[in-house]
Amino acid sequence: MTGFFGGKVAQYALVLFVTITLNFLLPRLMPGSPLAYLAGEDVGAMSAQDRARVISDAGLDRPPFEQYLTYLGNVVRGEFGYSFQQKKPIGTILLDRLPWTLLLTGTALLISTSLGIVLGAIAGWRRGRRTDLAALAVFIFLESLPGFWVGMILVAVFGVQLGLFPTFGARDAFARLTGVDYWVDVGKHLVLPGITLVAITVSATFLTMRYSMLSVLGEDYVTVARAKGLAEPQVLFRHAVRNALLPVATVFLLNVGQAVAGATVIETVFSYPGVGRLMYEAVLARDYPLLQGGFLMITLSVLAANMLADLVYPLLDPRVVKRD
Amino acid sequence: MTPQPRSARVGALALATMLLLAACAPAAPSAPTAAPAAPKPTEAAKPAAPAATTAPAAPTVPAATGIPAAKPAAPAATAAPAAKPSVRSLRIAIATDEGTLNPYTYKTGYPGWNMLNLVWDSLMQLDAQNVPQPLLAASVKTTDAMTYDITMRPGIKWHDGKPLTSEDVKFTYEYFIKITHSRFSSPLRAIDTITTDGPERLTIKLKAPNPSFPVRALADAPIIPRQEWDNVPLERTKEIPAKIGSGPYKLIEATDTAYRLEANPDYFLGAPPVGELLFPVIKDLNTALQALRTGEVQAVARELPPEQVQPFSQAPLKVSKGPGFASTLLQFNLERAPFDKTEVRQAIDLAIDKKKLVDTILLGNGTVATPGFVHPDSPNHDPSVQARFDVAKAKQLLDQAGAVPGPDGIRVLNGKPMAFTVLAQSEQPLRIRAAELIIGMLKEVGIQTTVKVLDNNAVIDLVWKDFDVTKPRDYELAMFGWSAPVQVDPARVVDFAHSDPTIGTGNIGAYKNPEADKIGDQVRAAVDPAQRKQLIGQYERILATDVPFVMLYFQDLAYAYRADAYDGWLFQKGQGIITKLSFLPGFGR
Repeated sequence: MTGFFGGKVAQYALVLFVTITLNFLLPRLMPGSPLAYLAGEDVGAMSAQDRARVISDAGLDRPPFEQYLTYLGNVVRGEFGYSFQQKKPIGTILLDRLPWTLLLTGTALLISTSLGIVLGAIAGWRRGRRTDLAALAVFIFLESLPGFWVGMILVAVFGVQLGLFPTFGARDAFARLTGVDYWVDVGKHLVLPGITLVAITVSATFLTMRYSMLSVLGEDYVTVARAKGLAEPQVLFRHAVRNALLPVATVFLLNVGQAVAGATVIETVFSYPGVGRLMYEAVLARDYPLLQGGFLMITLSVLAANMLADLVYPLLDPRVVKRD
Repeated sequence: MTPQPRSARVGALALATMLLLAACAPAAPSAPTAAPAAPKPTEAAKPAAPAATTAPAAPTVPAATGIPAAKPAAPAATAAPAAKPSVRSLRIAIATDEGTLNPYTYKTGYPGWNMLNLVWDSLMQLDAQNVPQPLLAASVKTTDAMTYDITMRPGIKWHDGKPLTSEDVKFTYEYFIKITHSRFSSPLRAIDTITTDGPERLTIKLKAPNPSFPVRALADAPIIPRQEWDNVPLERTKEIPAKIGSGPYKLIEATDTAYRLEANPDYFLGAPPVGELLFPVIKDLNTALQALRTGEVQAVARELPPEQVQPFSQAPLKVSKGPGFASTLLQFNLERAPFDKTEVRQAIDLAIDKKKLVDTILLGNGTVATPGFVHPDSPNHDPSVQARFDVAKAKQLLDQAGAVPGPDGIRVLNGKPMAFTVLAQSEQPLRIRAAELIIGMLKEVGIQTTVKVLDNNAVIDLVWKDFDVTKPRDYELAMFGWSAPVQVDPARVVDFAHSDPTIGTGNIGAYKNPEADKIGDQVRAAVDPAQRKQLIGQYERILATDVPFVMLYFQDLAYAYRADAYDGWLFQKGQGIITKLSFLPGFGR
């Protein structure tokens, strides 16, 4: 067991090192430079010396390997520097965005997973019947919808036509709300992007759950359970669903790791202050420090989620532990 | 397997949720950065009339220099009694955050630069026709475009109540000369000496006559307070908050999702008509337009796409339209054969139907550009320089150049098929559409082109590496364009065609013509407006013959707003409505 554990730790450390290195390399391999955002819009009218000064101030004139070593040192110390475009410390920027991202993606993930599990179980249980076919059709349809389109339709109907929900932002930035009013406002702002995100992610869980149910229902122990004369709900929930949840747990844990990365398209449509849109803009601006910091955060959360999956799996399914 | 007690699991989940919600909670009410200053009774009682007394009656400025003396500040007097703003609050959607609105942090020229100008003032201010008018200055006088005598308006105050004097102006200009700013450091470096004579007078001597100085420097560089900026080095410029300006609005709050500006009741032209300006950042144009429909915002700073002009013109929505000065052109790389041949460039210019581009892509909402670069509405434009479209002549020129059609109809020149790649920017859908139409037009004359779409930063890397025209360029043809302020100073046409890289900073095609350089130098130094106009016409005619780039069109600008919320918008020619002028009633109209 210690060998297994030690090996895992080494494996994670290696993955972490490789991604930290890639986080440095990939942004710099893109064509283009951060100069326009470092110097300002009228960079073209600047003299060559002024441009050189801007580049050297940002440390971008030093040899790449030297920059890499500095970067590694800073990562170890937990320093990520200043964003080229926002001129603020990377930590501050990410911590500003992270709660909103998690609020949106976390809420949507919980809802879409629960919904997917329940409906997937029912559909699998009633395979080939009308409920199953209807659910299947709906979810395959949802799966095929582009997120930005769903978002725009929701804005047009519930925001513009019915006036029920605000169309942009995570909260009313100007109303100076406090207490309950503040949270009601945050909740209202969450509704439309949340529904959109659920709509485009729920199908994955539903289809996984349904498929998993189908394979479980063919197992001997289900036949045994039925032969014992157990009531149908007992067979369904005690024996079938619990076993069918395993693949769904995998999907869920992978999504948990990804939740930190946000949902770029939906954040764009609803102007939600999430990490996804932030990273997209950092790419366009070639904002190296922000890209490095942001991708490191995402990497860490994906690794953490994987580690969690590694630890939880033996508990969920003792069969995966190798017996010596 | 020892199952965790259910309560523990629920507890952990609840804890995580609480942490998340705590992070989303409103920030603890910090002490307001700029407490809305209660107007002191003595000051509030004072009418803004002093400005009127300072307007010099004697027109000491020679008409030739084109700098008007301050108009009698009647508007100030009329605006002064308005103790309460007519509109309490206005929300304007912007597309991206603009930093802290300190002069070093804005991102976009429009609306970022204009938002910044609500907080800061410059000595002069461009009016609706882009003519510089005295603002902080009461008058600006020059006889030779080299020595500028400036008298300030008396009694101007910073937002914290301290007086703004000629010393602040001197400090500001010297600061910007030393601490590089991409926009106005170069123009200000024309200065040789600045001498002050009391708090209200200063004299600026330039190193050489420079008629562009008022537009490029005096009406551009915002005056910043010495108390905040003294000894701030370049690397720290971005950290200085924009707390104390002198403009019609005070910055109360700047985050990456929203800005809050509050009217400066003591502004020397009178309190502005809108009490509070709120700028939420809405990334997606469609969302911003929907928010305008719902009334969540009352104006959108971004241009309305041509196809949306009609639907957004129904009351209470309104659209303000006007000419745009941002150009769209097809750039040649003259270092790459066959674009080194003038006939080839001329043929491509002749083969492109600019009118059709305007009609198809802009639905008619645009101006066909003329080959001399200068906007056709500019008073300096030579009307004899006209856009051309003549397919037969284009074919004839290509025949003369020895480009013979091959079996597939594609011409072959010097053994090479005339097949080229046009770069276009993914952020600019209209340019991509234009490039696609151009493919068809060039095919007519036997030239094959394909469009390659990259993000803007990647296109810059190939066309204008590190924004340095001396660096190698790696492209054949590129869709390109220059922003609106370029057209405001007529002498800037030279920036895009001069072969000296310190002058032709935007000569991205490596065009070189000694005759053009000679006229260009004269354009830049010409003091007399009539002579300058004549020289610019000459320069335009050279460009029209040499075709270093194919000028395509200027897209009209259209901005949507809710007229029931505020209808005092002023369209600044070529630029738009989110400008300082929209909030200075009676100034610059």
